[in-house]
Amino acid sequence: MARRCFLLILCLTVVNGRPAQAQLSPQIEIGSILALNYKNSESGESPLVVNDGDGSFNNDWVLLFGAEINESISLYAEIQTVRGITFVNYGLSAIYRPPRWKYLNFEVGKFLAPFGTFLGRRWASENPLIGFPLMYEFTTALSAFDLPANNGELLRARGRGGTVEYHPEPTADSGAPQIRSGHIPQPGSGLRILSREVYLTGAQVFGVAGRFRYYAGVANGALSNPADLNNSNGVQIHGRAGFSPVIGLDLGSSISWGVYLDKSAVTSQLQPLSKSAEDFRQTTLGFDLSYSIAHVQFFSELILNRWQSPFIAENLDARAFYLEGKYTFLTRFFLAARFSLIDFSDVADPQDVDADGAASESWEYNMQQWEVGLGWRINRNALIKAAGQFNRTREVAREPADDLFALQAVVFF
Amino acid sequence: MHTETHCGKPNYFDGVPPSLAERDSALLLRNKNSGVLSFLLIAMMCLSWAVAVSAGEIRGKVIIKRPAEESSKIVSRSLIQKYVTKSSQHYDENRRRDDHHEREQQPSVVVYIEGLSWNKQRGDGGLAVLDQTHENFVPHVLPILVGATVKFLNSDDVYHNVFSYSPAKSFDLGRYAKGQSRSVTFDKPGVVKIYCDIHTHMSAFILVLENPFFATTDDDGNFVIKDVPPGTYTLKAWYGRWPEKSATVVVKNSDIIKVDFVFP
Repeated sequence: MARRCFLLILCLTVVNGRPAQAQLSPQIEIGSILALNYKNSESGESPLVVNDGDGSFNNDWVLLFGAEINESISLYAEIQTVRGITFVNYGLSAIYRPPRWKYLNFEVGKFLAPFGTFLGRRWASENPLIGFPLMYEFTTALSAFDLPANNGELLRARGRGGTVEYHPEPTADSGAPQIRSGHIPQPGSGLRILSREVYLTGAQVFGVAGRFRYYAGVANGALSNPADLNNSNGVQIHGRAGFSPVIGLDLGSSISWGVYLDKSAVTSQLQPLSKSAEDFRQTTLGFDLSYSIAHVQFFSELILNRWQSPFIAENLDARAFYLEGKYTFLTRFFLAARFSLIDFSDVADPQDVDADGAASESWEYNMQQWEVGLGWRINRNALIKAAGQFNRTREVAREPADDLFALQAVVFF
Repeated sequence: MHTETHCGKPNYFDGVPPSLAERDSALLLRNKNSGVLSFLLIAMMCLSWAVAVSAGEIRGKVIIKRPAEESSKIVSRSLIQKYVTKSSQHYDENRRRDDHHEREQQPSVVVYIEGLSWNKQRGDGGLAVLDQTHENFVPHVLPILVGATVKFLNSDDVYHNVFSYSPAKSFDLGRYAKGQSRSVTFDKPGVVKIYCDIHTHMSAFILVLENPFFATTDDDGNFVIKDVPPGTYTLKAWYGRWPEKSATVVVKNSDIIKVDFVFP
């Protein structure tokens, strides 16, 4: 993938290869964010699995590179550790702005999904808390690699998103989990509504015109499985429109429609249906609102998500929401709190997996989460956060609570 | 560093800061009060004239030879907001204007006299304005007298959030919109680094000084400090990038002392 991105960027650079103007000579910028975490978790048998694996409470190091080649071309790259140890190339893109086109930018490569508002402030230096909202963190029982054969299989897998496996015999792509990329699901893991850090591989246009801004593009995969180009996923179409009626108030709406199943992994499983991975989509619609004034900031997002699963008759829907607030006081300190929840749609339960006599059940456990925290800005480039996260499963499950307390030290420039 | 002494009357030219007499007159004229104040005004002007007659002047030039690292193409700056957090905002027309402005901006150096005692009762330090325009602080370096109040004006169509964690003054003004301002009084001498919490590329310095004998260099690097009482002083030149330069000067009645500084 990286090679393809590099070639695309190289081609773009050559095509636009006029000499850089003297007053805007090439300039390289670098940035870094180092986040060290300590957590005290009481999870265990919880169905939540929010903080298992590469959750947002692991140590993290991000390196950023930006280069302004000339007035029209900028390059951007990001490298981030996964699980605190392995470097993975996350982003590599080129932005081209035609000299006379004021409101139009082209971007090609691997870039951050323009969906909602949280992705743009997900880094530890920008996130006033430590964890992510549930829609970016909660792993469902749905997999991109392994398909539930019927409703009963899906319902029995609820709450096991961290280690979801429907078939005892491993498929060609399963086996020992491998770190392919920090944000791309791997065999044995369930899908989040939005993968933790959604970098899309493709091309998009974007721009700002007064109080309006827009994005539209084509990429590979889906928000829950933002595959690289060589992961043989289908086409994703995405778009976003934003409007700021007054300073401090931002409204936005985002949409994504793409293929979330891993084609190579599910082709054999789909043979009985004579269908392909491209026939099953993830459709996500998001609305966001943020407001800030003086020392207070609010953010909220509502996401309506739909997956189509080959052997499940019903659409697998999810509604997710979060509301977040931050208040700065005494110059260096801030308080933050976030409430988020996910509700899942019902599917028929002919096997009565819960033995409760109900004809239908939500296809995943409905969740809600509180996170509250206190931050201290040591200086302009360092801060410390303490947070408590309280997760609850609203249906009775093995263990409804999954709470943790964490400390985070962040150094960035 | 080069020190030279000239005798004779001072030459005034554009860009020279107002003299002490002018400053005192302005302060008193603001009050617009009764005849008592008029009498005091006349008395003060006479006194100031007397001081001015017996005072000297320090002038010179600051030459900045850019170090090798500044001409490098690698600049360590935060990309967090520029490319990702606020990615779309940084591709509008302001972006190039800001970058161009940044490159064209002449570095400002503040030259001041250290250790000269000053009667703070003579004024409240005054009022200065630090504007935020095109996502830049203007001026980039602002010297003020201790006790002065700085008005932070937002002239942009976006929010700004001015803050400082400097020991000399720590504050966070929060977010406010175009046309609005917030004020801070600086009651402790020192260097105060100013930032915007929203736009990480914005920064400025406020030098809070103990006496009014200071000047900022003009576009050519020239400076003039007028009405300096006779005495022996340490003259300092401050430029944020490097350690301060200093020189000892001896001011006699109506002398013009010439002092040049070279950075780094």
